[in-house]
Amino acid sequence: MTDSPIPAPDDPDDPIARARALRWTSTVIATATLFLFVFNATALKNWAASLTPSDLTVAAGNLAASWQAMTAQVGLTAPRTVVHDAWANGRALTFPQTSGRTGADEPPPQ
Amino acid sequence: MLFPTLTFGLFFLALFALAWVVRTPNEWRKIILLVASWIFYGAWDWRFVTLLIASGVLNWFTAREIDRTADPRRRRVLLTGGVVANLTILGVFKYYGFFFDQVSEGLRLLGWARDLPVIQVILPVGVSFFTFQGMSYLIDVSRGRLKPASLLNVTLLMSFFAHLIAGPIVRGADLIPQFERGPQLSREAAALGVLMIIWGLFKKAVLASELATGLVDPVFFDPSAHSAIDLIAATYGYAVQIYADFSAYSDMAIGLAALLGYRFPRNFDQPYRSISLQEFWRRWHISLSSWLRDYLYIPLGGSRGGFWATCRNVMITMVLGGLWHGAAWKFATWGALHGTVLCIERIWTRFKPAFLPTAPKIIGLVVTFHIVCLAWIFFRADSFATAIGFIRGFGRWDDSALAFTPMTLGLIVFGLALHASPPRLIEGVAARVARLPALAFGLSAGALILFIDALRPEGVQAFIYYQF
Repeated sequence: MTDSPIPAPDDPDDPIARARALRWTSTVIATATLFLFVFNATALKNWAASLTPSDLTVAAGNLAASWQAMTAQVGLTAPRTVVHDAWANGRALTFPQTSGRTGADEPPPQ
Repeated sequence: MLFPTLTFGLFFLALFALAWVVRTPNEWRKIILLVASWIFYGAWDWRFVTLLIASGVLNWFTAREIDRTADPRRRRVLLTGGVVANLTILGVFKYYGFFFDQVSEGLRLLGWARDLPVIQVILPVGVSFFTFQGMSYLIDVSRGRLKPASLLNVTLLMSFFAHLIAGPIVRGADLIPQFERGPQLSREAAALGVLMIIWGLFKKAVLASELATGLVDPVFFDPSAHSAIDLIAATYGYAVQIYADFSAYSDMAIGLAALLGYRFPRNFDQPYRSISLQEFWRRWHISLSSWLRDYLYIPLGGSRGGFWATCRNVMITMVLGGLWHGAAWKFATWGALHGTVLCIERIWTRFKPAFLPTAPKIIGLVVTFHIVCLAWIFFRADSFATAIGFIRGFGRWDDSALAFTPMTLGLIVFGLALHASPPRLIEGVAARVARLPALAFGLSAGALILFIDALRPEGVQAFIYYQF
């Protein structure tokens, strides 16, 4: 096997170890999914709104919007909003410049 | 269906559940993965799923026939036929337009301007990757390194969604035994898989996307409207962007495969800490560079034919490696630049006067990084002429408004600083994380993804290597 970052299991044929690993992994994924469902309803709403309109996607979009409104009401969307706004403020920072001219504003060469 | 989207997230959740519920018999699991991979690929264009299937069947059948015959001449004919068929797929879909343009231009220069019939050929995503995988499978079987596999294993090898679009180029010798044995999962592998997905998400959605939209794309779009500061920043920015973008895809591919119970090879290993270009190619897109070494450079003669023949083989390999990325002269130039410097390194090592001291490693690192950056300009620019104009702009120190901002500076510094971090850091972290209770790690993973999602710009750009 070519060098892989993923370690091989110590005992690949042990069914108990395999079952435990699968249970642990499934719990990790389920917990993370649930966490995001609760705290990242904004992303869910944006995603649903971006789907091609159909009866199903419109209904899904309405459900996602209601869920987002509900979580926003109790402040669960606040952590995302705080980080998002802080990052947007950082993005807006510029270096001080000697001139406000842009390349596009320059007069054409004579 | 891009990895860092909710659509893909839901697709993967469903597949993860299904693939582990139906883990026996192994054949059924592989069929599920195969169908899921076709759905994944079909999300771009359903028509090309048939191309993928046809390519799999072609390589399966040819390898089986090669194995069945003992006649060396017939084996060679079959192998040549199989490789030519793979190259034809690549040629028709990827290089037809380029070839057509060159012929038209040649005729025009000769004064024989003609209205040649134009056929627009759509480039199937990932075609370079799956044809290279198919060819390596054929060659490995013909060399006796690999036993021919079942049709299911060969088509899954070529179609597996995790590596299908932008690698790593996983060889049959690595993946087919895993398909035959069945999936293997451990807490350590799963922890590393989850961490690599999150890390890849950060590199793509924040680092690469922010640099692309905030600096690199606007500056490369019109280099003449920017001063040297922006051009230099965009050059470093692109070096970080392409590393973050491409290694993010590889990390996520490796992580996704790990969660499904398969191990993919490493594809990046802190490339910008290389002190020579030779070392760079042992750290950058490792699956492609090792593919080119094993299936092109060595068959060309490698280093067996003497010093100058070695240099010639290096140049051929690098120029063709450049053209693998795309049908354009700028990619050939990029490859030729790398090839030339690789040859110069060899010449220097061989003919360096004995009285000259060996340069400190930091000099090698700085020089190598800047050569790589210079070559990236040709890689990123729309055309060869734009790249030349971009480089000329390095002398334009005027006071035009900067696209370069404190945030892009911070991201560039961060992206480069990653290369100074301890090697295998994420693997060490994963080994510790694997000891955490699942609930604690799940909550931490959710919080990290939430944090990344809050930072990312609106929308998701396609990965740079999708076009190859």
